[in-house]
Parts: sequence; C-alpha cells; structure tokens
Amino acid sequence: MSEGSNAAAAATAVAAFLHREARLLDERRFEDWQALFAPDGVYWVPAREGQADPLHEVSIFYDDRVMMAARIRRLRHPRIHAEIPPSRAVRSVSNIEVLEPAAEGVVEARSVLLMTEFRGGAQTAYHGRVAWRLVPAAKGDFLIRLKRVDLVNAEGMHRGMTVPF
Amino acid sequence: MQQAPRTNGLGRLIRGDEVHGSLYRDPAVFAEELEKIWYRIWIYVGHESEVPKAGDFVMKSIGPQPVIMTRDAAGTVHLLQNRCPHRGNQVCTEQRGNTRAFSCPFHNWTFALDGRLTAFAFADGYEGRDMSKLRLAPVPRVASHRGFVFGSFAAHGPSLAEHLGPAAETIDRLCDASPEGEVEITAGFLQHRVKSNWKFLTENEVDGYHPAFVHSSIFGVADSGIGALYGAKSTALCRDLGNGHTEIDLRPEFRRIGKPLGWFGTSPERLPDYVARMNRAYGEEKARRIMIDGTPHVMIFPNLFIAEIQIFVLQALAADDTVQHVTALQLKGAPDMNRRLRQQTMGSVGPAGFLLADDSEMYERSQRGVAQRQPEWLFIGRGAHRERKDDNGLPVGHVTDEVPQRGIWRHYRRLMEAAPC
Repeated sequence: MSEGSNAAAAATAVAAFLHREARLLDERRFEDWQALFAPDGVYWVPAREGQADPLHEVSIFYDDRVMMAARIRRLRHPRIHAEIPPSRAVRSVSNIEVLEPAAEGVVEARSVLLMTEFRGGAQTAYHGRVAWRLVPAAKGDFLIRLKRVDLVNAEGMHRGMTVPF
Repeated sequence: MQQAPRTNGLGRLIRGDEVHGSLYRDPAVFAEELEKIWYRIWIYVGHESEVPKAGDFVMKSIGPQPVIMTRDAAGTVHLLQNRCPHRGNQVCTEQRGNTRAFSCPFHNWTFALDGRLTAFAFADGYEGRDMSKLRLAPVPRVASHRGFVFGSFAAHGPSLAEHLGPAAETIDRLCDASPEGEVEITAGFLQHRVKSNWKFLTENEVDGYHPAFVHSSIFGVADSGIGALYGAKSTALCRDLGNGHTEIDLRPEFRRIGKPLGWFGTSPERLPDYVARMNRAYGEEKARRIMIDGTPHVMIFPNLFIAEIQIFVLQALAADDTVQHVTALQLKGAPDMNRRLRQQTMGSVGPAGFLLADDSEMYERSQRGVAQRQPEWLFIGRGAHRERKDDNGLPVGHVTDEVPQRGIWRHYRRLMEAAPC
C-alpha cells in the first residue's frame, strides 16, 4: 500500500474508534467505555485553557483507572441523586485529525466534541476540543492512554457534571 | 410566587426552630440581605498567598460585587472596587496577574495598586482641580487572620477579631496542620454554580444529618470511614461558635479512634516526610495530637467553608443563584501531603466531584421545594431537647443535630433586624 492510503486507513480506523467511544458513553455503557483505556490511561478535563499540569492545580476531571472505576461504580449506585432521573446525552464527534506521532507506537489525534445533555427538564450543551493519545491494540483497535477534553468554557462557572464527556 | 408576609420586619419569619420558606426565595429578601449582610459584615475574600509578590492581583468578589485583591510594593494587601472614578469603566479585565498599575482603557487614567490615581491623560484639561480624591474605591475595611483576608463594606463595625470570636481558633487549628503554620491557596479554583439560595449551602456545610443519605453512593463505592463519623452512634459534635459561625467537631471520634492521620484516611507510614516535618516543628507529642485531631470542618458565616482539606468560598448572586469557588488547601512545607490533598479534592468537589454532585442536587431540589406554597415553614428543631453548653459556654449537640442551623438563623435574624448603617 502507498503511504497515502496507509494514512487514510489509519484515519478511518481512528474515526471509527472515536465514534464508538462516544456511542458507548451515549448508551451509558460506562464499563465498556472504561475498557477502552490502557492500564495507565487517563481521562482529563482541565479547569483552564492551556493547563499544562494536572497534578499541581485542580482540574474538572482527572481520572486514572482507579478513579474512573469509582466514578462508574457510583454511576451504577441506586442513590446517586445527581443522576436521578438519569441524564441523556448525545455526543457528536467531528473535525478528526490524525497527527504525526510524537513517539513510536503511539497515535496522536484531535477531534471536536459537542455534547448535548438533557436532565430534569433542562438541556445543556458542552463544546470542546479533544486531544487523544492512543496506543494500537489487537486487530487494528486502540486503547486510550490520554483523553483530554478542553471545554471552550473551561474556566467558566459550571453546573454539575456527572457523566464523562 | 408567594411573597414574604412583611408586617414587622423579617424577624417574624424566624421563630425558634422554624424558618419561613420565603427567606430562601424572595428577591426582596435577597436585596435586603445584600445591604445588611453581604455589604456590611466581614466577608471572606481571598488568601494572602494568592498575591504572593508585590504587584500581584487577583479578581475576587463580595456577593455579586467584583473585588480586586492586590499587593502593593510595600507588601500591603488591598481590596479595590473595579470602577474608574472618572466615568465608571472597569479598570481591570484580567482574572489575575502582576502589574505596576491599573490603567483604565477608556481614558488611560492610571491607578497604583493601593487605588491612588497616579496619572491621567492630557492633564491640562484638569488645571486647577484637586484630583487627589479621585481614586479606585477601596473596600472600606480590610483585615486578615493567619493569611485569610476579609473585607467589609461598612466603614464602622465590629473588628474582624470580634466578628470571628471563637471561630478564629478553628483557622489556627487548620494552620497548625502545616509544619510551617501556614496554609497556601495555590491549587487554582473550580467554580460550581447552583440554582439555589446561598443559605441552603451555608446550612448544609454544617449539617451532620445528611451525609448518611445524600452521600450513600460514595460510602457505597469508596472504602471510607466518613459514614460512621456521621452515624447515630458517633461521638462527634456540632457547635454554634456565635456570630453565625458553626462547626462540625469530629475530634471526639478521631480521639476515640486515636490514629494519627486517620482523619485523612491514611497513616504515618504513607506520609513519612510530612510526619517527620510535623514532629520537628511541634515536637512529637503535639504533632501527634494535631495529626489525630485533623483539620476543622467549620462554616465561617456567611461564605467561608473550611472543609478539612478544601475551602469553599460561597458567592451569592441572586435569591436562587450561588457559586461555590472551591480549591484544595495546601499546607506550607508539606509536599507529600499536598499531593494527596489535591487528588482527594479533585475526586470529591467541583462540578464533577463525587460529593458535591449530590449536595448540589439537594440544593436545587430544596430551592424548587420551597417554591411550593405549603407547608410555609421549615423545621430545624432536631436535637433541641439535648442541646447543651460546652466548657466554653458554646451550644453543642450530637453531630446529626441542628444546633448549627439554629445558630445561623439566630444570627441572621439579628443582622436583618439591625438598624441601617
């Protein structure tokens, strides 16, 4: 295959993966979603534009696999008041770009996320750019090492956010 | 919507262990609260560590009013209102930074970090005028306790020390958890907005009755001892510190258990550097006592909640609109401790935090609840029959009792019935 068609195949595989990731969240298949993350995978939503450091300052989300698992167990708990009634959301993924990888065996990608959430009679829209660091897995699939969501209003005032973007 | 029945002032709406629902939702009551509480008494604004260097500034607030906290070249911290004395423009548009002066973008009037007018463009237009009185208005009174900076829009009134009373000691207790005796606010803030009245938040921060029910989903998934602290068999207390300040005092439980750092869900073996520094700073005996007791859980009326490992700064914007500005407390000289403080903060508070998600849901449901017509009153009588005075003469009760709520409303009533300034 030519280099061009290799790149096109990689872009198609990444797009299919990102669409599936969004759908798993839409369908509230949180455990399946978590399984997309590598053991050292991190889900990060910074609290301000250009935040470089997730450890020395607070973020909106900074979940490693342990925190993610606790969050999901809580989402399944019958008395998670913030999810009674459960929210419904649609995530639209667009503007997908596969970048030159910074390291071997890693796929760097970018996308744009628009999530519309409906809960308790109110609709909320979240919009942001997502940076992905993926590692190739079996059968042309990927695992997520980093999903970073930079909300357009990261440092704004937010109502509660219970499910991941 | 039902208006507050107003025949003889707001005091009529607070009677012993009952509070009228309109006090949470009537916009006229909120407007009166701004004048009699938020723009009158001492309000927590920020921490000196947020402006560590000369020229530093950060945007803060007192209720709906923005306030710029600055540090001048002499090291003094100022609270300034963001309004040019010329034609009213905002002089500062950035959230934080470092500057030699604020220049109004409208006509380039320039102000020092203490608010003095230092230069104005095309000076010949003001020939013969005394310009020295034109300045950025300061918040009339500024005072701090252990780095916690408070401001009051009233030119006269009780001193900060008088206002804090026994609550000052809870801030001292917090600072004692640092081997250098200081806390720092350096981890950045999350802003969590709720469609609810600020008083639902102020009351809930010291409500030991709710965790077992509101937070059961966390106690169910995380291996946490917190639930037992707020159980019916707990020896923990709640206390009315006066002037609306209230606390949950978990020390009796922590002392009974007797494990250093047990309050923080960890042990000395896991934070050896912190323990060594504490021992050096205070001696082993006192350090051990501090590490068993833990940090305070105190609501400094009306807007500073010290929640053991975080602070919440409550900002009232409207009768049904409140922002919680939240950050991790950082203990000076305790890097290994601080890492955990930040981690635990991110998991528990902020818009996506496990704890606050459910609290905030309750705030908003309560707000919708009090919009119903009946019953008109809320009942805060829990534990009234067993309320007693502690050795210092302060009202205390079982951790699940409503001693703090009664204390908050007693003080609220005094403030709202006070004569205008």
